[in-house]
Amino acid sequence: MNTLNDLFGALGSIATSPILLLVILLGVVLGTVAGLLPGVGPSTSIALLLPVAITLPAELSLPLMVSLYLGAEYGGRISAILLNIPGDPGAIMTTLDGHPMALKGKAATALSISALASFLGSILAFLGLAFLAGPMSQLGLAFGPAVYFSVVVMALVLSATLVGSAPMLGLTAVALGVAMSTIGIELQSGLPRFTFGSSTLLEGIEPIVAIIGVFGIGEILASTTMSKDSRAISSLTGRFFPTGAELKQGTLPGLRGSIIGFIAGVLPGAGATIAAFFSYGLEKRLAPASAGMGKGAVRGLVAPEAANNAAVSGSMVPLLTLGIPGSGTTAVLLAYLMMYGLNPGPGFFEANPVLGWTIIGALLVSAIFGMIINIGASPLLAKILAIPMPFMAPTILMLALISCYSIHNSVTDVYIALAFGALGYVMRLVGMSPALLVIGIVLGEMLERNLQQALGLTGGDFWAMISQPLVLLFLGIAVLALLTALPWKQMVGKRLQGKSKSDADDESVTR
Amino acid sequence: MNSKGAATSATPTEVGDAGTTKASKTVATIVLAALAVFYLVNALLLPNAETDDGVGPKMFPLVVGIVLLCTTLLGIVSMLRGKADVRPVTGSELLHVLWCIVLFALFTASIFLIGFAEAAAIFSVLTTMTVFGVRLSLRKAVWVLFLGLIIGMILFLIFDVWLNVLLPVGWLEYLVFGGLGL
Repeated sequence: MNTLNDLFGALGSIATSPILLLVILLGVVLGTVAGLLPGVGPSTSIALLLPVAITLPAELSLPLMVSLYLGAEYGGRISAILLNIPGDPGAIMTTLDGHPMALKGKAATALSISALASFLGSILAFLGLAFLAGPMSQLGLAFGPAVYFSVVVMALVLSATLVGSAPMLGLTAVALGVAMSTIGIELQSGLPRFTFGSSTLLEGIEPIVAIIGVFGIGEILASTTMSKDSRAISSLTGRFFPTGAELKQGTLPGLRGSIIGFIAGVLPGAGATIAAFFSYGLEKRLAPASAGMGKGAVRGLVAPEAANNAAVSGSMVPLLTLGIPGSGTTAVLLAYLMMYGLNPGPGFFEANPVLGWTIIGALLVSAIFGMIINIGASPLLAKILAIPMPFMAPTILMLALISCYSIHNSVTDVYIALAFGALGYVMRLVGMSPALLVIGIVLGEMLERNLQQALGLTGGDFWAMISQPLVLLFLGIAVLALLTALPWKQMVGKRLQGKSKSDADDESVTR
Repeated sequence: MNSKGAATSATPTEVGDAGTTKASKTVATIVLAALAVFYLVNALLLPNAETDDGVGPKMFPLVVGIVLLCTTLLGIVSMLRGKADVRPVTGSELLHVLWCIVLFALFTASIFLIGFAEAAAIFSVLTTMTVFGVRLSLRKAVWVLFLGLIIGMILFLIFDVWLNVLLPVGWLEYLVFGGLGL
């Protein structure tokens, strides 16, 4: 009952505040534009908007950020359908049936159907978030430093093994991020670490600088080979409103996609990309051959779109209730919340009930605005895609410079971001997710702090620290995830394969 | 399952020539291995100010350093064995990336010399021509320079004048905004 009261209270205050409504609308529009432009995703746009947003009070800037996040998930599908290039990673699976639909002359229909699917996913996941946030927050309050340490370890390992092309490279990215979080003064002893005499490094690496570097600058470096000629935009043909049959075909896949998306969002590391991947995979299994999956099937378009939007609200659950980012974008949001002196996690809703519920309420309002804008303004949004990268890239880099410079009014931060940009480019070359590096940086400090506190409570006895049931459970999950990622699994597999082959040979010889 | 970078960055088909994965692997191996070794060596050199509960400034970075080195080595092995989604890269792409890094560093250094908007205008035209390889006639180059200046001035207006993010002022910003006492 409390949940409903808080929720309706937040929605009421949003509905009666024109400024808040305007901010959310602005966030959705900016997010949609950022999402549709290949190379600018939600993480980059949130990081680049920092100097603007930080001037606003948290009650306005946080709804702006979450609406931007949701808007980007709406926008990512536009370039996926019209260009066959996903605007954001969550829209990768949308290309599989969305673009073939556009090639069949149904681009406008594909955009409308996917916008409706995104809306469905957003609304259902919003309900999940609203009713799960309270109990999860209560659960988090019972966690001590040792349990928190194990939750962070689990989140890091799950993120590393689920995201990116190779689990071992994912673990490398996370470890690199944790390593970078140790730069600066160590709080317990007050001794500087890895500062090499630099006064700038004494405060450590600002997560926002690293984020602007790996996402903003890194993505531009990776897009230096994109030319205007390489883009073939499908024209906006077909009906804008889907038929009854098309809506019927998309209903169940949309519901399934929303549930999968929400669950994937809640899991640390999974996020929108994996949500879309699993929901598409499920639909492919369930669909009859006549459904034409991969050739412009409605269900193939609806399921991943509902899933990637549902994952946004899902990823807010661990962020707001446990302070654990479930994705790269929520890692950016976590760093952003910390800049306001807010500590998301257990007790966040008790300490900031109005702000917490306003963030959740903003997701619902963003979902409604997102659907209206993405259906109504599709032709206009499609035109933005025609802006060539060579002319867009310098502007993004200018924004990156301002965003970094504004943090301490220092160009040193800009050079640090440039170094991270170069690292982000190298990571992209070999399929390493830059989001993992950011998650490592953001969670690294939390990992060390909780380890220090937990060991302090047990007098330095590590085994006493990990002998708690919840600690064992979370560390057990981490170990299991790690075991599946280890390369010796393949070696053992090969050996077993070789053995079974020789056994089979022996058997055939005996016969 | 792909990362954002793998998803949204230029695909091999967008590159003029095919490129090789060997170059990508070599660059990544050098960078990742160097970072891991550098971190571990410096973690070993940290002062050992261990406290009663066993935690000091050295223990955590040392453990992280060992884990980083192990995962990096295993990651490199899996990458070399073809288990990773490696994007082919050409020499010219690497050159373009290097150009972009150099130009951005020069842009950052020059904002204090000539002002933000002026540096932004020069950066725009140089990036378009050298990094993205767009051949511009003199007339078009001047047009891009002008556009860059306009964008720079708009950003200056938003961030410096309206949002109080103090950006370095050049003669044009001074004439347009400072002269008017905004």
